[in-house]
Amino acid sequence: MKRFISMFMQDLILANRNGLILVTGILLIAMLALVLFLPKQLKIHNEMILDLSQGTILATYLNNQGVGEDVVFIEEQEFNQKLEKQPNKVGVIFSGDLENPVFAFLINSQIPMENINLLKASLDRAILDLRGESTATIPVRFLRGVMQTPPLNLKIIPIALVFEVVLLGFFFVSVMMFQEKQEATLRAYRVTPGGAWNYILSKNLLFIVLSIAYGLPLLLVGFGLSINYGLILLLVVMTASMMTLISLFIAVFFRNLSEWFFVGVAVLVINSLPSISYGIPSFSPAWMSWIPSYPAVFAVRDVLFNAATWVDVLPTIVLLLVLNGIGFLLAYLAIQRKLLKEG
Amino acid sequence: MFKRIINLMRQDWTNAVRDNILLYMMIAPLLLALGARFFLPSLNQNQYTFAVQSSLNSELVHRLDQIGKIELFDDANDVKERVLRSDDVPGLIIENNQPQIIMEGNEGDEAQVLQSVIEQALSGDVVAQYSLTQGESGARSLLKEYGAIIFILINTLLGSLVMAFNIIEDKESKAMRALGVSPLSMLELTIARGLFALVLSLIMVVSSTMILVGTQVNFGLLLMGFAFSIALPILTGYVIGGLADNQLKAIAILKFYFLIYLTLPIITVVIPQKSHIFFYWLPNYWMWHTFEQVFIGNLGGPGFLLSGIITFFSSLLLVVICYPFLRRQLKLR
Repeated sequence: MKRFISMFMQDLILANRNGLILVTGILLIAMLALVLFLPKQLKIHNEMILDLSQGTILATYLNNQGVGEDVVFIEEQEFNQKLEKQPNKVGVIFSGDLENPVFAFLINSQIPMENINLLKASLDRAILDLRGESTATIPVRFLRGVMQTPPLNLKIIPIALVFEVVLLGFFFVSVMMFQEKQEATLRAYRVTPGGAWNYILSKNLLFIVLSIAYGLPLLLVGFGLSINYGLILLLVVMTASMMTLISLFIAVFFRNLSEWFFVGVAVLVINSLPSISYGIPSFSPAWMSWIPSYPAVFAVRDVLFNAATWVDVLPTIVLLLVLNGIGFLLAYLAIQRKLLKEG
Repeated sequence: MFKRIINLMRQDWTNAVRDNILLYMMIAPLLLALGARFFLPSLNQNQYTFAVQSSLNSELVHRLDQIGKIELFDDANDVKERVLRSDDVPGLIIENNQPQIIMEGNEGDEAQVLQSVIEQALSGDVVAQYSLTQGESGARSLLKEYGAIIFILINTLLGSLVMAFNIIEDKESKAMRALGVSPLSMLELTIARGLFALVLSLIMVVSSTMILVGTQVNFGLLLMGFAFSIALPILTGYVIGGLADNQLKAIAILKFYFLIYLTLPIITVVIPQKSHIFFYWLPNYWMWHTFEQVFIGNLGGPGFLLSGIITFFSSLLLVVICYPFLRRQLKLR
């Protein structure tokens, strides 16, 4: 235990001396600024609508629905100018009247036909609403009850936790190892009774502590005391530990930062892909869910916004536990058999 | 002067070959670009998925199939289980011989829209007349184009990191101290290390663009855009290599730098044009804007040439401001 504490203190001092704690503090301030100053709502529409009908009934209807400026137009010139500058949007031109509505779509980028049909159904519905003919005939059931949509500034917190906070260990632990190789401190460590256990656990604890120091203020500022901190911190700790262990394992096989960096970036990019599914939940190909950060980010989301309990996130916790076990075993074998045996 | 520059470049080349940097640097970004080439089209084809109980009338299933992807389940409980998974998938089951829409409850405002759209699609009623016109660039996938721009920024950064890591290695091995008493000047070091970084970046930029968008892009403009951006990788290399005494500090600085370098320009894709003014002070914003015009077209603001010139002079200005400070840091003439 004494050896472990001494090793941990050394790592902590090294991290502080190299500005790691300072940079974590600066990153925390940047993230806090995002949480505090990001708008609570940002409506992004994929279409722009021009109403050329007499009386501009559709434009009035959509404006009353709160669709907002830069989406609904009654001036053709302004509409064309704006559409030209936003080629990713579908231009919709409404003409005719309520009895004979005519819509023309202008498309400047690849859009699946299903999404066009979805837009058609939505416009049909708007016309029926205007005619006073729309009726809700199919009942809807909400399996978890109706929950409020989280504001945008809080919605980024799971992303910040899983793709930023817990990655501290992934980024820095390898570099610490390379520095120890270069400064020959590892050679000195080999002749001490410290061993692979202390080496791995000390580094892992350092980055768990840093991740909590980075993540906890974010959670406190965003949610106050209204969330299940035990559960959320457990998820943060387990994900941070998993990423640190993976990084330790990979780093053993590289001589220096320059060699490791490009492979590290590749792993990092792959690990960050589930952030796309988080932003666009309807996009989740099966292979995406195999990336460990995928269940982690959704479990964090469910705890923060959907009042998920231990039972709800148990499968993710079990998965992270298994991945931590595998990560530890791989890191231990690599460090014991290669790193601490090299000449 | 030229001999000293060539010697330093030769030295960097030897280091890069010895440390397998060239190998990794070429392979990793190209593999990522290949991955993106296969991945981005699927993102572009993103559409709603509906979990549907298979006993639903086949005509209704067909109508729903027109507005999204269908996943069929034999049992209503299986549909509910699918709806409860992490992604946003609404369901349709049969209860008391009537269809019922199932949602998770966290859909927010979208729930009402989804309900009315599903109902409308299932009704099969034709309310309006529709026509569709594809623009000249209608077959374009903007995601691929934006992906290519992101790769250009990343690859330029990677090239400059080789420069930064070489400077740090020289500091750590005390070679920088030896260079300080040699006739090598800061300008010569900048040219040698900068050229090396730029050549590496250029190779990766061209090859990743070829992988992602093929020959659909104007490579003449691409090269011009790269030429406008050359001071930015030099600035990056100096900021990281000059400020960090060791690798750990370099990564710490990089972590923060990356946030400003790549994240901020990407954000401009989704925020309104009038808010772009907050990013005008960033050379990387102008670099992004320059390449946006190469790949997508002018979406507002200055044209290609003007934004290229702003990129060049704004990053050069920052290099000039940092130059004396970094010369002191590196202890060179």
